[in-house]
Amino acid sequence: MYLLTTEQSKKSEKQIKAKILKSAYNLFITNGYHNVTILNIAQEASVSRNTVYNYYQGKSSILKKLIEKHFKTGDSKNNNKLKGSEYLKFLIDQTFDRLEDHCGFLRVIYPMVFFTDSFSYLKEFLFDFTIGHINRLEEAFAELGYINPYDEARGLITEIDGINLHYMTVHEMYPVQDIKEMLYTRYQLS
Amino acid sequence: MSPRKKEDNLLIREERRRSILDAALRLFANKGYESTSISQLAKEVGISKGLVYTYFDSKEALLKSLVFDLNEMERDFWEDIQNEDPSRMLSNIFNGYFNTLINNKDKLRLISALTFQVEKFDFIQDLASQKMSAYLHLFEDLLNKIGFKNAKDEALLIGALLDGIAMQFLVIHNDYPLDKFKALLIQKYCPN
Repeated sequence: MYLLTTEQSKKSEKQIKAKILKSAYNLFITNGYHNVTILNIAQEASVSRNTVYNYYQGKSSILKKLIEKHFKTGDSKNNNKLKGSEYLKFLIDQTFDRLEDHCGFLRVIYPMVFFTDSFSYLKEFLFDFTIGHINRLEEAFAELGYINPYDEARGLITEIDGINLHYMTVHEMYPVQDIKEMLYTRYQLS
Repeated sequence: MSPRKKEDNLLIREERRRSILDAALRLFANKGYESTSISQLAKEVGISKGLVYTYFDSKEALLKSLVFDLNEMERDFWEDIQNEDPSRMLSNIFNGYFNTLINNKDKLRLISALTFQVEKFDFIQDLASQKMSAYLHLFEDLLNKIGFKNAKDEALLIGALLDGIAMQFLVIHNDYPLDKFKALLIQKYCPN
């Protein structure tokens, strides 16, 4: 056995954590949160159960991390610079690009939002996330000169939620391209 | 005590069946289908676990009955919204939809949550897609008659908006501006 330098061990720690998260993400999506155990996650990630517990207190803290990661994707700093219709286009494109991946994960977390008080963290997180999006979108609509930018923003965010929901229900039967074009036309994007 | 007549027995059975279904809806809708056990359900109704099984073979059988009940409710809704004038009918649908949202949170929460588990329940998957396409066709038809171009796509967006509204309302409840959306929808799609 040789000793790892701090840097090396940090790197491998990061890799192990990423592996655990990836395994948990896939398992939650295929089997449902309730049906997955820490042991399953450990096996999928080819690490021991104890290793998982080294980094995460339990299933719920893994989920918490995944939620933060999932919803942060695509919200990088450059998007803050996008103006008006650029941002609108970005948001719509992102919605349709991520439909499949996003819906898989939403299917894991949406039931929790409805049911358990123990997931109040999730509820607050999604609430803040939605409000953040609405505010950002409201700005964009204001830049474009809409009379009621807030209503417009709230409406579009709601529609996007519904699109996700419908996609979850009928998958490939959902006319993704038509809907996207419809939104492009409505907001005069190209 | 005089012996029970056959009809009395049937009545008792039907009442008990009802109370099991009501309790199941309450529990499924608030705790979730997965997290509810038949024991908890029996406790909620105040009967033994064994007795529950004389009415329903399994948790899934219970769920099926609930879903078909919901379907009945839906049938009444269809009757109520009918109107010869397409614009009136569309606004009836919007009004009915928002009323249902406010008055049947439990049922809707259950249905929405189950829709996320469609792979697990084929019958719900079928029902959900059937229902969705029935609504979309109706919207399309009404929008066509009202004179919208692109009625088909417009119908899809109305469908998405309505379901998105339900979703957000069920999560954040009264913080959601339901009235505003109802007004906007009627204003946009239902000319006088």
